[in-house]
Amino acid sequence: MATAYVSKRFPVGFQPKTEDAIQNGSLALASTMSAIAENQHWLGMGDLDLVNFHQGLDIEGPVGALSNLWNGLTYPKTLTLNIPPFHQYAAFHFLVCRDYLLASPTLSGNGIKIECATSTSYINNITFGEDFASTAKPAFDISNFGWVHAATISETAVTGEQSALKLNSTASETWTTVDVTITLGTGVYCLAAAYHLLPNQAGYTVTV
Amino acid sequence: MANNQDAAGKFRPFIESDFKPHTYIRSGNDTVHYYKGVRDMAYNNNTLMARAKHPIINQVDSPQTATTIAGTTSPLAFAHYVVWTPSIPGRDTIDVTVTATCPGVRFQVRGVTPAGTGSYSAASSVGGSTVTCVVPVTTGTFQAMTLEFKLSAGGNFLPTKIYSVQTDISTTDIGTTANTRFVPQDSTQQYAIDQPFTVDMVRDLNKTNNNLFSRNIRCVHNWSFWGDWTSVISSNKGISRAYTADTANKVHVSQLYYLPRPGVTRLVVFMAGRTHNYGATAGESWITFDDETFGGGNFTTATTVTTSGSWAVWQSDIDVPTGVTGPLLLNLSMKTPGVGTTTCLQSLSIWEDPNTVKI
Repeated sequence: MATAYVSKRFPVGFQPKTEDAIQNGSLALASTMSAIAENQHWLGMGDLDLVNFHQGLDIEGPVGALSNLWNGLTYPKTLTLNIPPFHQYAAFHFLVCRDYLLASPTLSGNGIKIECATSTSYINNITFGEDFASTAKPAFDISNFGWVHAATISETAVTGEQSALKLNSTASETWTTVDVTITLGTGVYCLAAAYHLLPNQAGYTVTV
Repeated sequence: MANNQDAAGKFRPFIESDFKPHTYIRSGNDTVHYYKGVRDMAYNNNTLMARAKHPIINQVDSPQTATTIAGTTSPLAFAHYVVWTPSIPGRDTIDVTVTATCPGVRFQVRGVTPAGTGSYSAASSVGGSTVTCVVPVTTGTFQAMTLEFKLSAGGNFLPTKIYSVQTDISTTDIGTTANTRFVPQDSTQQYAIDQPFTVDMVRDLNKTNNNLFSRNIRCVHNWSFWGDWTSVISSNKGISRAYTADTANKVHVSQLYYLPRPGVTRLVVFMAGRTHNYGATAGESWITFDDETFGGGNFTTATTVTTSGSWAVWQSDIDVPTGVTGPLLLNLSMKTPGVGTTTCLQSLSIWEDPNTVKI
């Protein structure tokens, strides 16, 4: 077995070769072949998704109501991630607000729960918020919303607070899909949400 | 028959001992030590052409925030997206997977694009489940796609997830076609041990790399209001903004998260919706791009709704700031200065522009 490595060029990654470098009569350089192989490596393993998967409806509009936002009283959302070969981690980002009328978001003590078959991550540092019940100010103020993240990769802590979600315990040689379910705690309102796949970390190796 | 590793499309990563300077270039693949030879690169070339993809649509909603749509056995449009796929030979369809509930009945979905009307998916389970339809697309061009559903009998339809990617093709089929951008490696003996390899072979490998880099761009956001589309486009549904007395300022409605992909210099934005205008002043919707990393740039594109009561699609471009390594936040803002006017955004697609990717 041999060990593949993750290019230190990540996330810049791709290093184009122009056709001028590959002309008749040119030398068959190992460096040219190496560059092509590395670029294939980036296209297969380093060209990672960034997807905004949720867009809340305007709650002030004609169809608007606070309940139109994804919140802790609605059902969990399950989305599908397409992950490339030998890939393992995804970071999640939420534009959220917390209702200050509640002492703390309640989801077993956590604000947002992100889970798949392999691991579970939590976000419980939602410090943004407003008093939705107050009549003294508008029911909806986007300035009170802020982004929270689950994006930290730890070699040891697969499950934990604010960790990127580990999607696979065993890296696949092909493109695969993983379903991820997200649950908001009571009092948490989500206006928008996104995920992006994280490049494998320096030192991360795969056996081929 | 292509020169493939296998039909499953396994990808062979780069190995640190591959193609070191002052070493021989291996022609065949080394099945003992797994050092990469040019034959492995041919495998990877075809695997990338057959399998590399980004999501085209990935939208979720939850039953309590989605709109239940009354349906019958006749097709009914319920979502509108803009789709794009690279022009890889043979990959001229997309898979659209829809998860929905429909109490007491079954549902089927299909997609309609300028390339044609796709076949209906298989029927869901009674009460709803996840089904997939295959939709024809014209590769290499942005195009609108409308999704339709029909029920096995009258009832309600409640979509909760729509996911779409370009359809995989067999790595053993990819070798049968080529175009000016992508050339499969298609000779079984081309990269065999002790066979010479030519400049053209290397050039074709490089061509696929460069074109995948520039053409296999990502969809940043593909959002559609879900509802009876005939009704949606003639009513004030979606992300809406009523008239505000403060006509000078836009109202910040939402925000999107973006990390630039290498080489991408521009985003293409498609917005669809309507303005309902009782007065003489047209509504407007705006989208702005703020660079959080550098404390706020000013990359603004304005789109104006000019015709009262009509539904339209508008396209705008937004330049991606250069030198950015951190996240960018795409602010969605709206302004509705006309008295009695309501502006409604009902579909929003944001794509990296494949025509301005820097190689």
